[in-house]
Amino acid sequence: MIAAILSLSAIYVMLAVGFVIVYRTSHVLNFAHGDVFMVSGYLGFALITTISLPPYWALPVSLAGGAISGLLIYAVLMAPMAGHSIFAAVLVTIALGMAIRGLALVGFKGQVTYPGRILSIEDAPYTIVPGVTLTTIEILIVLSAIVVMVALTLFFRYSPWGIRMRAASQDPRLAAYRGINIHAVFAGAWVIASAVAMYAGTLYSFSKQLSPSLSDVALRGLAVALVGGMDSMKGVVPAAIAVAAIELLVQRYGSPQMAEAIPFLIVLLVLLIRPWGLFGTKEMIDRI
Amino acid sequence: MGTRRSGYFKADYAADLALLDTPFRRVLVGLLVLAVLAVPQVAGKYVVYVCNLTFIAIMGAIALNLLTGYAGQISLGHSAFLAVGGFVSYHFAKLGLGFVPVVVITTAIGALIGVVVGAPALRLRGLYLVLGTVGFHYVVFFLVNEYQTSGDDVLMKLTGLLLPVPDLGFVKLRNEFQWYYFLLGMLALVTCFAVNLVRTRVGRAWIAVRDRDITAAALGIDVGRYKLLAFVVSSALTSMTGALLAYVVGSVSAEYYTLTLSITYLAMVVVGGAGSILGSYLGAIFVSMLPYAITWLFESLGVSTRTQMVYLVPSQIVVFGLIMILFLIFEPRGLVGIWQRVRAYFELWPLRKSILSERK
Amino acid sequence: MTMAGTDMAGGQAVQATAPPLLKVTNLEVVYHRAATAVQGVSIKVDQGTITAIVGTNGAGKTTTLAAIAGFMRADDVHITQGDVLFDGIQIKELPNYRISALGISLVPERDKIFKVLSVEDNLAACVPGRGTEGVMSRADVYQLFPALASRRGTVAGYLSGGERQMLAIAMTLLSRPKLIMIDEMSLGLAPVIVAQLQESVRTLRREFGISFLIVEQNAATALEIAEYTYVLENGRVVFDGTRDRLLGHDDFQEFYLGIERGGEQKSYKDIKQYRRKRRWFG
Repeated sequence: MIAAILSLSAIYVMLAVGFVIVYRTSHVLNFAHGDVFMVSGYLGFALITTISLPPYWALPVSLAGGAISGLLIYAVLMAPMAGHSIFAAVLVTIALGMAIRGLALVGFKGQVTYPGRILSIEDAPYTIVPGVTLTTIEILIVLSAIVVMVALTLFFRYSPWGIRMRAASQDPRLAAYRGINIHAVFAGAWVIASAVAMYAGTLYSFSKQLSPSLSDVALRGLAVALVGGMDSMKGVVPAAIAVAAIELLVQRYGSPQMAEAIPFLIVLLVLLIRPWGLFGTKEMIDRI
Repeated sequence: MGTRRSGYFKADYAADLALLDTPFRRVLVGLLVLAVLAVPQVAGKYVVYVCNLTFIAIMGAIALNLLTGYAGQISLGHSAFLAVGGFVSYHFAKLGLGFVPVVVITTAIGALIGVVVGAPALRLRGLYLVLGTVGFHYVVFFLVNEYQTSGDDVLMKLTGLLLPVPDLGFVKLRNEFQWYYFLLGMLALVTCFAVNLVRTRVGRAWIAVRDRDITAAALGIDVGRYKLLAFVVSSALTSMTGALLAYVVGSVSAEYYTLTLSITYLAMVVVGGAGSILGSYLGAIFVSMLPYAITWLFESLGVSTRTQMVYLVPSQIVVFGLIMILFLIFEPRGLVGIWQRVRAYFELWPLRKSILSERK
Repeated sequence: MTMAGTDMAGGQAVQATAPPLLKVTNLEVVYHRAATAVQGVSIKVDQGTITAIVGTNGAGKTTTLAAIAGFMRADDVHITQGDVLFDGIQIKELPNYRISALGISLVPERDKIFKVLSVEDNLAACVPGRGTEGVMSRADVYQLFPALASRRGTVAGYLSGGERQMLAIAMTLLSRPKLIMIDEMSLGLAPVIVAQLQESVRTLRREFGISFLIVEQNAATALEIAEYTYVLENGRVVFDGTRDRLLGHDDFQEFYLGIERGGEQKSYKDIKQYRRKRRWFG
């Protein structure tokens, strides 16, 4: 149980980080995020089977592919929306998500497969501490999430470009006056978010299954981001663990369908009680 | 050209209040109404059925446009409210209530749920309604699924829950042709309601909130209340549409109400023209006709029927997404924007000046 | 309109023949393709001088500065006419960060610091200049502004007005600018603080040869520091000159310094006539 919570929350961490980074820099809720996550599983699987790439090589490839698609999404779709309302930008991400979902259905016929089993990826169980047994892939998922979190935290706290991203998200105009290329900064946010999402998508498809409903999994990452605070990096981990734990408990004692709905019920409750999330800044929320 | 409006000549309030302002327009709309009324006389059963579903889509698009286009709030809960409409209708119809009370009760429950879901999200500025409605969607999806599968009838789980034939008292809506006229009447009612609502204080308040909420608040508009009002009106109308949809189809089934359906309705609003009732018509008709256009395209390309079966829905989804993106980037005012430009071109011809053709 | 580089009061003597550092000619700026905010403004800033722009609200001062520093794509503001030459380079169509890299830094009137970042991070966020005359480090900046050094961990939003202005100027220094533009430098600050800021400006000019273009509403404050001043009204330069010329100008005294002459005030009618006269001959 603890092992399952660990690996699910690690996936949620990698998803929520993407939502938070994009929201923090450009205040756009990226509804295409889940579909990017989903399609990367399919692309990775297709790549492995068609050019017989060793499965683990698909991970760096998906990281790079995610970076490129993040850049493309920003340059082609988001940059032209500068000056339009944020609502229009959000609608664009919703439409993009729909288009990606459709393309995945056209390209891969919406098949449900189990890449981990089909590719017979080495997945031996290890007992970390008594009672907690993780498989190789799950260990990789948890380690990746830790690396991503630590790297991003250090990046935003200490590196000049991380600080510039924070600066540009607070006041893009002043950032531009102070010599920051804000389009590069915004593009950077999309690149990081998409790269992590695609990497996580490939990894998730290895450990669980591959199906179009992966984009619903990713939307639960949005629930995690809200619970942690849409603008808060440090809220991501506790929120991911909390949501994953509740979800899996409900799955065990309730039903799988109920477990899928639970994160969204949490969304409604958070909006009611504490809309800025666990660690978000209260000032970011303007009440009317 | 002499009967076309060539400028703004309204000299009194009565003229300004009139919806159809020139004799030419009155004749035009009159002819259009006659043509629409005549459709069932010449068309077959299938065409009329497609028209019925399109009428439903238009009502749904109007409901969403009031919220998204006029009040500027994005909702992904549209399909959830349609589901609420369908399932609540089924429930009350099973209890033995007649068609009219069922629809009325469903509408009221839709409004009530709108208050409950909208109130927490709409006191906040920004994108919280999208989040709230996504959450709402999944919760409703779960609940209606449970409702549908908890029944004793095994067959119902597969076919969906069946609704009785609606009885209006003087007539039973048994076939497509009767439905056609009934839905046309409903659509006329909804349109009149929406067109007049957006011309009143409420509509102006919504537009003010959409364009700049801080300014709206400074003008004395209670922003939170008007946003909530928009959501409640939209939810009520959507639930009513959901009820009608369930009755027209004759059954409700949970798997129909996906998030993609919500996005499809958003696509209608965006493609038709956000903030325009005419836009809701154009968008809903466009989106409803798209599957037929794609089928026709497949046919003319000689694609086999089996391949068509596989690819029809996915390619439809791709096309919706792409068209929505194209409109958002290149023509944010939608088909209505294009239509207005074309009209302005002819009204002003040959004295066309670019700045005038861009007017609102 | 003669630019008198030689008779400036405090700065180093610059030859009158040297090309100006910044040369704005016949600038016209239109907002949202509808409202003209600046129409035909021409301004020069010579190397090593402090120049001021004064004018009332809506005169087009801020727009002029923003036009020089570059508009953002999202703003829907465009330079429809005129040239902006900096060091002889046309910078009109360049993005903000390129203009900043060339050596122009703008301190905006309001949001001039990153409020949620610490003082240290505010400075770290600024892209350092790649000029040849040596790089300025954060340590150098703290030496110039000791008051900031003691508050480097403070979130910038908690600084006082004077400290904010100081931090804002300090931030511009990191890019090694040749020209610093300050919008409303003294607005809302206590006279002591204003004097301190003016002293900092003079020091920076003296030590690093930085030129300044300062916007002020208060003409008297502008004249305290600027060697050359432009007066903007309704998006046009209505007159300009050195400190002595402006101080000796009757209309300037009356309308911008509020000095009454001979005990009798001119009537409203005279003001109208004055404006008309200026429109015809100015």
